[in-house]
Amino acid sequence: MEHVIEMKDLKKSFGDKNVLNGISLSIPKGTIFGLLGPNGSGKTTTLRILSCLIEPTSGEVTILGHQISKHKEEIRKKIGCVTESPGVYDKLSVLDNLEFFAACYQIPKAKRASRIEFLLRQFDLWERRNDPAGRLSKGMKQKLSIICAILHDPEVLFLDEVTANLDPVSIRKLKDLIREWAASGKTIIMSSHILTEIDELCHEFAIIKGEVIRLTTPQKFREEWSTYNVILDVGADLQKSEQIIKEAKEVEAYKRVENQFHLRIADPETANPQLVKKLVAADVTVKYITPLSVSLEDSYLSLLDQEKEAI
Amino acid sequence: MPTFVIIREWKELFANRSVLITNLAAPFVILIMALITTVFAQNGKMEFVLTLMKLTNPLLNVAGEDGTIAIARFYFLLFLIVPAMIPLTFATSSIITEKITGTLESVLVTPISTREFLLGKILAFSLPSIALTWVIQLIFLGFIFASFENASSHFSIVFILAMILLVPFISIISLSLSVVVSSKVDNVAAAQQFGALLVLPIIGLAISQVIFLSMMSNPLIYLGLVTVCAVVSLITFQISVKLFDREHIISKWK
Repeated sequence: MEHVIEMKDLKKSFGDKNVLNGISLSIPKGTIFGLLGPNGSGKTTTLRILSCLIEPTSGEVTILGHQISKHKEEIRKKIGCVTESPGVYDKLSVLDNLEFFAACYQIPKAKRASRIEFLLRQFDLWERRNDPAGRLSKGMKQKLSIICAILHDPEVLFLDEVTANLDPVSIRKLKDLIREWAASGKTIIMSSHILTEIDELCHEFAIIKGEVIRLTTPQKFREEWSTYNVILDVGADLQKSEQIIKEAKEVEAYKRVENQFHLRIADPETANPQLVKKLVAADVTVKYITPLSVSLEDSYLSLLDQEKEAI
Repeated sequence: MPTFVIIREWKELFANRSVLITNLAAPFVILIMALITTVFAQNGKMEFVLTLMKLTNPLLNVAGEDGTIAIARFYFLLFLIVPAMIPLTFATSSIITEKITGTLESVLVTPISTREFLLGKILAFSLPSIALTWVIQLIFLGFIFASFENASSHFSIVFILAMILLVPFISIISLSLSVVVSSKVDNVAAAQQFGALLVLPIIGLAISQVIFLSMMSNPLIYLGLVTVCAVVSLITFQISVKLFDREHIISKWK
């Protein structure tokens, strides 16, 4: 598998404060990769190193085959970066902003106008092209900032909390675009506090806290961190059911949640029918038994709680 | 030549017309003062000022020149403050404002080099102030040659050329120093205060040296001065590129 980004034992300290304590990650081409972590965990610092804005204290980073310590200019031509706050010039018109960034990215003059028009139409900003950026709403500015970063059609895109100011329709549209970009072979590294975004978009993600504390996929992570994986509804027969559940060897753990039971069952496919049989035999009405879907957020918070306890 | 940076800065400058007009008006105020004072001196109404000038600057006595010429020459030299001071206000706040609004980060992730970025900024602010200074220098020169009988004997071609050529170099020195200051402080107010504190004495020193040298008649001294300023402006620009610490600006500024 071709790895577009390779980080080896990446460390960064500001004065005597260590922000990154040795991050190693390999990100394949065409991947949407998420960076998760609490505030101050080093997500933005990692993205800034990858965007060639700051130098690592030690370690090595290779992007698209170029070592970051030696070929910054080459890398900058092939990457795009969108930060949380839209970095656009308020006094300049939308078009002037884009003309400026197109020149910064050395896009040939002949190609600029058509590329700018295509992206402005794609992001529904064409009608506002002559307005000063300062007159746009926060969401529109964020869109403009995204357009500025992808003007040169980068191979790798870094998105730092990019949906922060967008409305739900624009978020949906951006998510579709991110999927399209990845499908066309671009690699996207995004940091976000919105776990549903990571869940919906990312093929793989890393939870970092100065170092990588988990590297996994949203699906695997949920499975790993779900304490209860089956939900059982028995209507009114709660006491009788609880006695059976307590004694059933198929059930590793359980908890009552209002009129339902959340169960931890090792092999639900074979164990669920057996449990249902026992309940029915005891005249319990089983309304339904179904897999319990655990959100990424629940799993993430469980992991952070465990990390806290470990400290 | 990073013309796209220059054009972007100019568009922003023109969008901020009230600040622009206020700053552009200042050189014309100095020009009007120069014209009025010289006319007054020609009519013998500036004896008190001349006495004061001779007291504070004994070189005037050494030179033994006509007092009115000395006043005119003094204003000619005073115009050199314009290329140093006018762009300073814009330049010092420029980089810091870009950091605060987040545009600096967006620009620094692009392939633009530090040299291109800073050269663009310095030229964007210096070119209008250089043009403005040359305009007021030429107006004043026209007035001098129209109103003084032996103007060419007091204002030699070498002196005039030196004054004109010094303008861009003084502007670049001033702006490069302001970039150094902007790179090292973390807010607009500090940048402007430190900028003025650092740049003013240096420019003041340079101008006082010019005033001293203007009492000399050797044209080589003027040419030497222009050469020194040219070299210093190149060195200060290189220093400003070297000291423009992207990491410090991105990670330390709030």
